[in-house]
Amino acid sequence: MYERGTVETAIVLLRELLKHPVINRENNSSLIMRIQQDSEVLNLWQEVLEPALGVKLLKAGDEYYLTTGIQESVFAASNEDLRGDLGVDNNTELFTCSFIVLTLIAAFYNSDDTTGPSREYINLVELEGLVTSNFEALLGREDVEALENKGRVNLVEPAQFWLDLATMRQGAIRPKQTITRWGFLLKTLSFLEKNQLVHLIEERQVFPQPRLNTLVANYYNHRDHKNMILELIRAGGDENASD
Amino acid sequence: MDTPGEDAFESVQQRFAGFIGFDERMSSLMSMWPLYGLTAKNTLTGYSGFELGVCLLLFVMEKMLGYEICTYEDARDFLGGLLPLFADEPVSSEQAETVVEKLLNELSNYGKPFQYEYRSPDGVTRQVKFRLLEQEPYSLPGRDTVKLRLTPIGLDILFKSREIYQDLRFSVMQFYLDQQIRRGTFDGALDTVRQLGVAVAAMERDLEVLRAEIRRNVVETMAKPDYRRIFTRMRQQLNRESETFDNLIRLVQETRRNAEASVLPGNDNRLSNVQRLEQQLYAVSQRHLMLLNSQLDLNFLTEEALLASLRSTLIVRFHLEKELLAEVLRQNPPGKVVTQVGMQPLLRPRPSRLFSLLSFLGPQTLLSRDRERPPENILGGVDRAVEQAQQQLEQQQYKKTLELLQRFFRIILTPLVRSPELYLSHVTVGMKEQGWPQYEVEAFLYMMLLLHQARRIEARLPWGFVPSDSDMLEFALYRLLRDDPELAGIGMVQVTAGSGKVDLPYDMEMTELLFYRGDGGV
Repeated sequence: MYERGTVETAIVLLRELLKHPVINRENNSSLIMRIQQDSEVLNLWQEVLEPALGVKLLKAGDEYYLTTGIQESVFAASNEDLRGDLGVDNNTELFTCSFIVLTLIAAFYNSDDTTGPSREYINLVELEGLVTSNFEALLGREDVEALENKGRVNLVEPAQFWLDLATMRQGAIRPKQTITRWGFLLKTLSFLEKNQLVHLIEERQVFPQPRLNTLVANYYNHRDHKNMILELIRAGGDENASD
Repeated sequence: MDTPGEDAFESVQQRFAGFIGFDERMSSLMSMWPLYGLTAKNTLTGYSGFELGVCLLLFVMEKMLGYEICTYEDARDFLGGLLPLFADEPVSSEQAETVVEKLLNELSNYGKPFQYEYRSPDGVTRQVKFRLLEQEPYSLPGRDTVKLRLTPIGLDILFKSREIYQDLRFSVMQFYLDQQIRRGTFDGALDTVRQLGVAVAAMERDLEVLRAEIRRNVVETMAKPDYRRIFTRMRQQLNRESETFDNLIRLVQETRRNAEASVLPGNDNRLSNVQRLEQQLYAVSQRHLMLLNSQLDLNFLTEEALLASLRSTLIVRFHLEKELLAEVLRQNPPGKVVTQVGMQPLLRPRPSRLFSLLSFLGPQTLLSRDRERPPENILGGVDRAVEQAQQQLEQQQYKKTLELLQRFFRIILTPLVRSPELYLSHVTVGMKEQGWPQYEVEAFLYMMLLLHQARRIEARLPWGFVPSDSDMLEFALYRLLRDDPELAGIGMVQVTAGSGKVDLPYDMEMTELLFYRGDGGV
């Protein structure tokens, strides 16, 4: 049974997190104070709001972030939303972009001694190479045809799609709009930039933003989340789930 | 006499401030070369020449700081003792002697000064000439030997190689500034203030980085030397520096008053310089003062982050390359899973577009965003059809949402026509039997959260304004009231938390809410 004030503070936190990418002392010191004074607020989140809404409140020091994590949630973007935001036409392209994101975070957060980024930035040329070699590795597997014949929807399609693309079109006025590897890299990265996750400099190099560092450190490096993610990958996802 | 080359140099120099003092910087940087050079000596291969060289310089410095003589034999014995630690393989005594001798010779450059050349931006090749380690004859009772000493440059590179130097620099600059003001060299003083400003900015940045690190992982951060350095610096030096700033400001103020008293007509250059100096010094000291506040914040943050990390025992290492990406490549899951595990956790949660109730929270952004699609899509031509289809879809969804919201409002408001109050649990009882789809329940739940947050529903007309259709929740309510005078007769409805929880279908639950008529007086 929660006090009225506790419920109020918890819901104000939800509202503010839907409005702002982060809640901290700088943008809402009174709310931070109220949360500190009422330890029940975070319990309410954990017991009620998180399971009910399919979200996860991430506490990073004195800052709060909200994510849906990998769960089905009323707050999660649908594939349709994502296609719209990325400016891509179909799911193969969307999954290709997702694979780019995965490759990007794997390149940044691959340090053996820190949960932080292992490098300051990555060049787009290198990122393109990594995506390509990862996709090639995927297609190079001996059992790839067997997997495909099972009718399983997997990454083969995005991989083939990517590998069939030209790297870039020289002299394109709007490189981002070209149907090339470069075009999809730029679409993905500017989408991430809009989400305040990376800085894309001159279509040349990508820097992680603190927000990305914090999300990765606090979401992925968590026992339950890690297990859930690995389970999902191994189970191959819920094939009947709608788009 | 001006040559064309000098002209060119002057103009470049005017453009690029970094050329001021370029020669000094080059000689300072080149003073490290002899040490780096040790890595390339064949005789020293396998013996970590560079590291041993640094140790040798440190050994001599220690002796000097203790006002002791460092003889050739002292250095040889010291290095001989260290050698086994740094050598790849066991060392025979002959080998040891060769290595030690080589090191001493290399760092003293066989008695000659080191000489390096570099090209200055004026096109001239200049030479840097210096010594690191000096050897001179020294007589001991009964035998003659050699004593070793570091030159000022040798000492300097050792000081520079430790962070402590960086921290002391601030005090040194303050000291310079004091001297410059007293001597009346205000141009120089302004320059020093500028440098102090740069140093303060660097500290601000250090702190910002540190804060981000602590938020990311406090335990990991506290183990880093950087953390300790900044903390120590904060504890020990900030207050002292701050006092020095106060003294400097007093000094400048006094200087300004003197200048004001002695100003000659038509010659107030000195005065305006002092005034400028005062302003800028004041600005820098204010920023420096802010660092003191940051210190408190940092203590607080660290404490809090530590507490949080103690509470959570669930932190594990998830290597995104070896464990996540590799697993994806091994399992080859559906693309959807990759979106779900690689992208979704990073994105900001948003109410799905169908239920963009964010309208309630402030300016409507979600709906308009699509109309304001980046221009490249509109220009693209090909996308126009897609765009139109999307807009049509959008409109359909919008209409559907509006109807749904009106239905929800009706569910809450209708009972209130006859009854003064209503518990949320009363209207949610039948949801399961009525077969509400999941998305409707989710939307209902979310709307209830928003209503609770808004605390009241204005179930009466007219409103002080006519809501526009960009504000969906209000618009839905307004239309409902307009269409149904009975509901518009309810008046103000207060929303507050009741006791207990309300179970909703699909394993959802929320706090009980109480809706009651009235203007807020309970």
